[in-house]
Formats: sequence, structure tokens, C-alpha cells
Amino acid sequence: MPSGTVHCCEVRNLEKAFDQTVVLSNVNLAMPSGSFTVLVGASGCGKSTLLRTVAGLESPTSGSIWMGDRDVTALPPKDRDIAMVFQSYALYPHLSVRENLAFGLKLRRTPETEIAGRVAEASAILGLDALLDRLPKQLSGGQRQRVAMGRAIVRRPRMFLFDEPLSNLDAALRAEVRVDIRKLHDRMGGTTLYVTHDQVEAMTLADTLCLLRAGQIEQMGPPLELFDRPVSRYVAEFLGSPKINCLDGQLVYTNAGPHITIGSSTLSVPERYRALSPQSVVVGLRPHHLTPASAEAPQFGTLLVTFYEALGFETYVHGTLQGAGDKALVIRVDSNHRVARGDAIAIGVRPEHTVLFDPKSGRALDT
Amino acid sequence: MANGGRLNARQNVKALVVHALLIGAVIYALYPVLWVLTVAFSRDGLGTDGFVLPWPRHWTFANFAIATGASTGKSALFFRQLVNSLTVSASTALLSIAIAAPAAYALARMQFVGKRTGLSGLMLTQMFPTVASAVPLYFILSQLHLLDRRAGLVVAYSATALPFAIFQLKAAFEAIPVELEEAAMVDGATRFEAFVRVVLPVARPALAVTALFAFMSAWNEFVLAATLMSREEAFTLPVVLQRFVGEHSAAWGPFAAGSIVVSIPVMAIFYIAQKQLLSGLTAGSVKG
Ligand SMILES: Nc1ncnc2c1ncn2[C@@H]1O[C@H](COP(=O)(O)OP(=O)(O)OP(=O)(O)O)[C@@H](O)[C@H]1O
Ligand SMILES: [Mg+2]
Repeated sequence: MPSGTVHCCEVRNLEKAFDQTVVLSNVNLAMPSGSFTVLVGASGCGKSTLLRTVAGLESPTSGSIWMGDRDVTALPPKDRDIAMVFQSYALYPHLSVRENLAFGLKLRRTPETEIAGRVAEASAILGLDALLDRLPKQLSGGQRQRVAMGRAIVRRPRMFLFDEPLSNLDAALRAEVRVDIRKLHDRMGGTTLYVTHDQVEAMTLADTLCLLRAGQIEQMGPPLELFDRPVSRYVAEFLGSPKINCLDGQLVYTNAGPHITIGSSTLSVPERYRALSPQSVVVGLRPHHLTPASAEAPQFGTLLVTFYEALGFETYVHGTLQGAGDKALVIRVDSNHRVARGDAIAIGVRPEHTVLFDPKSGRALDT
Repeated sequence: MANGGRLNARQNVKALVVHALLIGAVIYALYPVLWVLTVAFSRDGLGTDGFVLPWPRHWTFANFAIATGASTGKSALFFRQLVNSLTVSASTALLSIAIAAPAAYALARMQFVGKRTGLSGLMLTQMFPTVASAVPLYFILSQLHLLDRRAGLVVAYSATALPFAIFQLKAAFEAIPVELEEAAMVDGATRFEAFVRVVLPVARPALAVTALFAFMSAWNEFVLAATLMSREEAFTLPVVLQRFVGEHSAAWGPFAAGSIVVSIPVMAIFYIAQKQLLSGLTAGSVKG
């Protein structure tokens, strides 16, 4: 062991290629016992492949997978003490719900009485009691999803793997089950690795959020850290809805000290960027940080409203930044704030909410 | 029906046309069978005096007595030949499935050197008529001392039935989501256990169809049986039947009666297996 702590699962220098196409490279991921790690990323970035490699359903091209202090890279899935919930649920169609739940325990020659006990327990937790004697085809989508989770928890594995388990559910159910999954995780005390491309799921479920980009880990950490301190424009744009505003600007120094200009608008420079030399920058401003100008959020420009979306609890106002070559911008205002197309709103931002990126590399400038 | 079973005029006409067409199709399919029945139950063979709808004039069971050897003191022999047919066909079905299922699974799920060539080879064997293999098979089985024995026929029939069985099962396995096996393997199964406990049960309808097909092809086969079997005790029913319409005489009555006797087991099997054949077991396994 290189480090002192033994993690529940650790992925080391993982590389995975299908034929010539490299799908994952240089992936290092440590999951402490009891942690909830969420993998997010655009479609095709390698999330499922990483999960499946941890499960043992794919073998890595190079690198290793560790469970505790065991190298499991060469072990088949059945010897890894994991359970997996598939996007499609993958329930055994020829077996009743009860038999689906018991399947893994039967294979492991668990005594009948214990099987019955564990099935009853899982069934009670997930509310499957009335469904135990049905076949999968006699269940609704949400019920199937619960059976798939039940099949994972009866096994009491060391680790749970989820591959987009909620993507086949409707929005309301998804929000409900999302909470259930986190509760279940806390209750079972296992370690969870969870794949999703839904950023609400990612933000709300994760202890550790791991954002994959083209097969590499772009950033990993607590969700709010990724949200507030993205290492790159990519991360900043991936998380948050509506998307972060990215505007081309200049970091300049005048007699009055450093500031950022975007067209004719001017922003003050947050403390952490004060050491930078004058240069072109990309200014990242989250819509919910842009507010009508006030004392804490001094005005830096004027938004000409072109369009707005009133959601009831808040309103997203789309417009252009005056004097900045008609740069498109989205801000969030309270729903009691009346806006109309053609309005000009003086907008401000608290200086510390500004993030800066290098225009060429897209990396964040605060290091 | 939602409206209490009553149909409006338009639906009536439609139902009438559909039923008329279906009845027509049934008559078309059953007409020759009716002839066979008539001949089998008639004392005077084909003499139905040109009726359009054949029907026996003088009912008799004599043809059945002849066909089954009851009236010629050969019923034990006939029974033995019936058992031959049953065992040979059932064994062919079992052996074909036993070999085809693992082969088809490998072809459906795994990548290996020679896969494409193997598949083309299997396809190629389908292009030759059975007769072409009769002579080589005769020599092979004679070397193996399997001539005149049921095991010899089983080997020959299984070899013939295999390519089709493999293609059939390969398609069936490919239609099963891989995730089912992956789920089983994560649940604690080896690949083999996943195959036995998940793939095979899910593919049961396809296995039933394939087995039935192998059974039927063995049950009806004549050319190889006639070539490879020379002792009467080793005959299967198609060979027995054929003897009634030999070179010298054409005993159509017993021949027809025999055909009916030969068809009964097959009809029984179809009747028993129809649920298996029609069930869509994969429904509801994946996706909401
Ligand atoms: N068996 C395979 N053979 C070849 N390429 C594959 C295979 N499986 C995945 N890939 C490729 O690897 C890349 C990553 O796939 P993966 O399924 O891991 O993406 P993902 O992040 O899960 O995407 P999604 O969000 O759409 O599920 C894709 O470009 C895909 O085409
Ligand atoms: Mg995926």
C-alpha cells in the first residue's frame, strides 16, 4: 500500500482501450469506505466503461483495481463483493420478484432461512411485499427499478455500483427515488459508485463528485467545490443550469488598481487573482450570482432584456450586455421582480463570485 | 368487448369477410387431410365416386389393423418400429440441443479466431441435399458399426439438424440482453452458471421450437433411414409406411391409415408445447 489509509475501492492509473480507441486514461480514483462517489460527464466520456471496469465486466488495458488491500484486477465480477444496478434494470424475466432477489444468495449457497430473512428485509425496506410473486413483466418501471435495487441490497455487498439507475423514470419519481437511494446508502453503510449525466443527481447525491472528460478525470472533489471552484471552463460550464456565462474580457491595471473590462463594462478583480499579470481572460459569471445592482453587488454593466423564463420561484432573464458587442447573458432574479422585454437592468455581482479562465487552455487562473 | 359484444354494421361486414377468408384457408389446408382420412376409413380405398367433398362410403377400421400389423400378427414389430421412431427423434432433438446450445452461445457472445469461417461452413452444409450425404454417411456409420442401429440414425440426424439449430439458437441468444448475464455474473454466477440459469431459461421458447424442429425432421426422414437401416426391426415409421406403396402394389388404405397413426404423436407434441411456442418470456426483462 502506498498510502496509509485502506480504501474500500481504489482505481490506479487505469487505462482502457477498445481496439485502438482509448476510452479511459490515467484514471486514479480512491473511494473510502462509506463514501458516495458520483461519476458525471458528457455522453460517451467513459463513465459506464469505468464503472464496468470496477465491476469486472471489462478488463483494463493497464492499471489496477483494488478492493481493500486486494488487487482484484484479474478477478471475475463474482469475486469482487459488489452489486450493480443497471440502467435497464436487467431483471431475470423468468423469475418472480422473490426469486430475482434471492438469485445471488442462492448462487452463493446461503442457507434458505437466511435467504428468506434477507429477502423479507429488503422487500420491507423497498416496499416490495405486495409484488414478491409477480414476474418482472407484470411490474411498472418504478417497481422494476426498486426490484433492481432490492437485488443489490439483499447481497449486502461491500460496494454498490449504479449505472444511471433513474434515467428510465419520470421526473417526479426520479426526484423521489434519488432521495431514497441516498437514504439507503446511509442506512446500508456500503460504498457507492454512481454514474449519471444528470447534474442534479450528481450534485445532490455525491460526497465526492468526479467529472470525466474524454476518458480523463477533469476534476474531483466535493460537489460544491467543483461548482464554486472549477478547475476549468469545461467544469464550470458542465455544472449549473442555466449554464455559467462566459464572456471574453481583459485583465488590466490602471491607477485605480487591477480590474476586468468586458467591452465597456468594468468588473473589480477578486482577491485571489490579484497576482496575475495583465492578459486576456474568460470571465465566468453564474446566472444566480448576477443580480440587480446593489451595495454588495456593485453594478458593472447593463442588461438589455430580450427574453425571460418565469419558473414561479425564480425568473431567468436572457439579454445582452450593453457595450460588450451584444454578448448574450443570463441572470437570475426573484420571481417578484417584474421584467419585460426591452428593459434595461443595471446588473451587479459580488467580486468574489467572478471566476477567470485562460482563453486558450480553458484552465482556471487561480492556482 | 367494450360495447358489450355488439358490433355495428361495418364491423359486421369486416368480421364476415375475415371469417370467410379464414374458413377458406382452413378448408384449403385441410382438404388433402380429409382425403387421407377418407381413404383410411374406407373399405374400398379411393372409390368415392367423384364427390367433391370426400367422405367414406363404407366405414372400416381394417386399414388401421393392417397398418399397425394387428391383422397380420405383426403388431409387436409395429410397436417396436414406433418406439424406434420415438427414441430416434427424441434423441435427435436432445442431442441437437445439447450440442447446438453451447455452440450457438459461443457464436452469439464471444469473439474467436475462425468464427466467420465456421459460420460460413455451417451455412455451406445447408446447401447440399440430404441424399448427397447418404453414401458417405453409410460408409462412416459402417466403420463405426452403427449401421442398422438407432444410435447411427441419431448421429446422422443430429449432424443434419445441427446447422439450422445453431443458427436458430444463435439468433435467439443474440436477442437476449447481455446485461442479464452481466447481472448474473455480478450476482455471483460464473459465465457457465449465467448461461445455464439465465440464458437457457429465457431462451426456452426458442429451445422448444428448435427441439421440435429437430424432432420433426427426424420423425419424417425417409431417405437416410431407408439407406442406413436394412433390418425390419430397425425401421422407423416412414420406412414402414413406404412399404405399403411399394413397387408391386399400392395399398392406399393402409398407407393412409399409417400416415394418420404417424401424425398423432406429432400433433400431440404440438398440442402440449403450444404454450411454450407462443410465450414471449423476454417481455419485461429490461426497459421500463
Ligand atoms: N464494447 C465497446 N467497444 C468499442 N467501443 C466502446 C465499447 N463500449 C464503449 N465504447 C466506447 O467507449 C466510449 C465510452 O463509452 P461509455 O459507454 O463508457 O460512455 P458513457 O460515458 O457511459 O456514455 P453515456 O452517458 O452515453 O452512457 C464511447 O465512445 C463508446 O463508443
Ligand atoms: Mg453509460
